Amino acid sequence: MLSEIAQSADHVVIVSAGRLRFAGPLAEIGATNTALESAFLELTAPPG
Amino acid sequence: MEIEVRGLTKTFGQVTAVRDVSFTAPAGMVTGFLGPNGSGKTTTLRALLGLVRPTVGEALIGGAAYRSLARPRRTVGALLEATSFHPGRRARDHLRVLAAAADVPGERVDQVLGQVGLADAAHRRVREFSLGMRQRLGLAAALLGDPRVLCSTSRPTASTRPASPGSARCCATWRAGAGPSSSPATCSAR
Repeated sequence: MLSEIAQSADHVVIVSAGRLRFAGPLAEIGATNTALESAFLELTAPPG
Repeated sequence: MEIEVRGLTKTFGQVTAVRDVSFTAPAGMVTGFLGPNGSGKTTTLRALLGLVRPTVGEALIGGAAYRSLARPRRTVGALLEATSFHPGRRARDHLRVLAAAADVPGERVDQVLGQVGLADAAHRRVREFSLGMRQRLGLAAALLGDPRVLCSTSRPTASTRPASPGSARCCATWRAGAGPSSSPATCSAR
């Protein structure tokens, strides 16, 4: 699933708990599946 | 044609589903819209498609709210998860009804069936379709009006890529499989 985004998207918007966490070019996160997955997990982790 | 969400907040009673979200899905690009389940993706897309009214802010397609689009099916194709079909209707007939309602030429029906790989199943009844085929039929319906913006819950495929640089594609969401419980969405804008 994230690998499909990593392969096909140019731009990424990430939301968590109703708030924006990231919006920008995929290249800013890193266009590999691993980079996107770690960014996703970090950005959407519950606070604390 | 771009998607622009500005200061969007949506509350349902005591629950705030989306809080002050702003972003742009640029024209000519595929935008992936990611978030864990319950993070507000669907509410945001529903606001974009005029299915819920924002509590605060706005969600615009090419600078206009969905409700004020003159020809919505030609501007935005939508494939959310609740796509339903009459089980006894043949795939081609399902699309012919939608084409007539949207004032889209009948020849588009066979074009979009080919585009999503259902040309051989055009005369079969929807009740015989697998889940994957139903999703492709939903995508075909979303593509009928050759929309400049596409919002869909299916996986991004060749048919959701921008077809030409001049006109838009935006927004596909799909359910997550394994891994973190998230359901990404992509927006492709041409």
